[in-house]
Amino acid sequence: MSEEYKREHVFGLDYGTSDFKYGPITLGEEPEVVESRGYFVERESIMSKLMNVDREVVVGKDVPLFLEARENLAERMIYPMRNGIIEKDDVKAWRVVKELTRYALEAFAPSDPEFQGFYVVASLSMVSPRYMYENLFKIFREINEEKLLIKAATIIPQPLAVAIAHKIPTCVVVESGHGNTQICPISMYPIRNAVIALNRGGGAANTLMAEILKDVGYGDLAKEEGLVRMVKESLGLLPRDLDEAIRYAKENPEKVRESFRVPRTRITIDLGENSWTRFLIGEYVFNPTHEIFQSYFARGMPKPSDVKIGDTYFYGMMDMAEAIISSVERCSIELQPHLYSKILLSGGNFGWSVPSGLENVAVTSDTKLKMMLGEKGIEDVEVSITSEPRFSVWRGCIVYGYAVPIDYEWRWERMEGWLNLA
Amino acid sequence: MPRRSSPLDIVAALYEEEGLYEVGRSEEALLGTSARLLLSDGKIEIAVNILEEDVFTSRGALHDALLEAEKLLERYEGVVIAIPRRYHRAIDESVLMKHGIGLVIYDNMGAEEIVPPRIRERKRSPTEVSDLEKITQHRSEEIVELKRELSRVLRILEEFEARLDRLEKEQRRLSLKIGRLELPKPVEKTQLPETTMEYPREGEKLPSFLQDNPWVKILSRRE
Repeated sequence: MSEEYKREHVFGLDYGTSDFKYGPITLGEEPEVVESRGYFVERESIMSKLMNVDREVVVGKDVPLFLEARENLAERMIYPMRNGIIEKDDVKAWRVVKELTRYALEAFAPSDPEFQGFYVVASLSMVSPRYMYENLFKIFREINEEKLLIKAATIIPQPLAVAIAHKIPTCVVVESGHGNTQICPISMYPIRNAVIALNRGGGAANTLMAEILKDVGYGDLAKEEGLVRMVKESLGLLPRDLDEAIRYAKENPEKVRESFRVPRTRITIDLGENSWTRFLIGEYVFNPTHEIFQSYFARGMPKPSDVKIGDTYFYGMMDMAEAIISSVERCSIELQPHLYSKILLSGGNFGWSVPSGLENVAVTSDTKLKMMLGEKGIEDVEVSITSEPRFSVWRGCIVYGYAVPIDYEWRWERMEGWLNLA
Repeated sequence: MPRRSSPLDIVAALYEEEGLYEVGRSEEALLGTSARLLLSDGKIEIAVNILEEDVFTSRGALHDALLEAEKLLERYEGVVIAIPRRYHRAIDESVLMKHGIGLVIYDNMGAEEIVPPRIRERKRSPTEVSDLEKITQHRSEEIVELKRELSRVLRILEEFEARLDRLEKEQRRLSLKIGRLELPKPVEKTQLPETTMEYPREGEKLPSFLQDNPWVKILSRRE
């Protein structure tokens, strides 16, 4: 098998928390995207009979066609990557991953007789335990037994893919997803011993947003996670300094006041005199230790706790700057300045905007982190937010598969290389 | 003014509840009887002789009616006489039971079965037997013909299923093809550069994230 064949048949799979991005190198700049979820079909349902469905799980764009009563959704709809990690014995979640993988590969498998399988580069969270790699390889083998779709496969951590997509060989990648945040220094290779994980991500900010909505009288809407997320993305702000921002908001309520109209409905959400709480949302992602959050914890809002999943500790309350410093300080002294000189923020959790007129109190994620690191004595820092964060992991996978030679075989000691499957 | 139900209708309604439907009626006065109702459930036939009040005005008419009912036992599987409720006491039920004749009483409010008829197998005349044999033979032929038709229909149905399967497969294949055509146009597959070579090379259309990417060189040296 030639390098040329491999370069033409590289296939990227990004198992994201919300979306599953996939496709071959020939797609160009952007992959195909479907929601990272699967629906366990009621075999006796009219739709499954009408559609002649002989599978247990439906994934991809057909999922909405099969949805039944609302009360069944939670039980039947599985989001396998919700927290970045799938439990070893979570049979349903692994079934969904298998179906998503098959769905992706079959969508692009050419009927050309010369096709001998794709060179698949999959990407998992940096904190994925070894059994996730083993299970994924097992899934690839099982798919191949039914139909030859994969020539060889490899799995790379998402932060490495992000660094590759952004063409930066030495950096710290901070990847913040729905369930957690991973901080991974990279210097040609991911420095696995220096990885720090936080047990909070976009989901934690959603929880706080829901509490705020309850406080201002929208308790009924606060139950709908999708809506809460939309409100958070529309109204949430990241303060330059929280105390200063709250004081400004209380003195100038009309400048900070903003309402959100739920698309295609008559519902408008207005925080009114509580508009100062907009600043709490962003601050909570970066620094949940501020005393103002204590009142929410005291009223029953779950506090992000320290947990151990697999071999990794996920810190609940460590602030973002402290986590980055802890991670970098696990690397060699010589490397540390280079790492601080390029910090890449990736993931939807860093997309805070600054509305016009609030530039003095609200900031973007890169400015906030630079300030927080400066307060802890770290100077000469360059922080940037990844462009098109949605596709960067897939792009990194494509570059990785394109460049890594076919004779570089998979080894568990280094967690890299191609595992031949056909 | 609403029409009053006749005794025939009242008695017929009683048996209809039991699955016996009217197959014939005679409203002309017969010997000792005001009217006759023929009922059947498809297997047996029951004759109901209905005696109206005027029958009871004549002393011998009741006896005539009973004798007439006795005669009917040869022709029908069951025989019943229906009398107005007020003359119930004029009839000895035990006698009717002994002869297997049923008794129904009726008034304007409805009918009530007092003695059920004894259902017996009717002796058929040789002509009837012959007719029945003919009918049976005819029906057997009909069944054979129907079975033949059924298997022909099933064969057609199978052919349709197979054609539908083929169409569905074709439809899925076409949907996939259309889906692919709707995807963003793939990158033109010109000669892809050697990974160990420097970028960019003129005239090559690689995705922007592959162009000038130092990782290509770094990764291509993995060994």
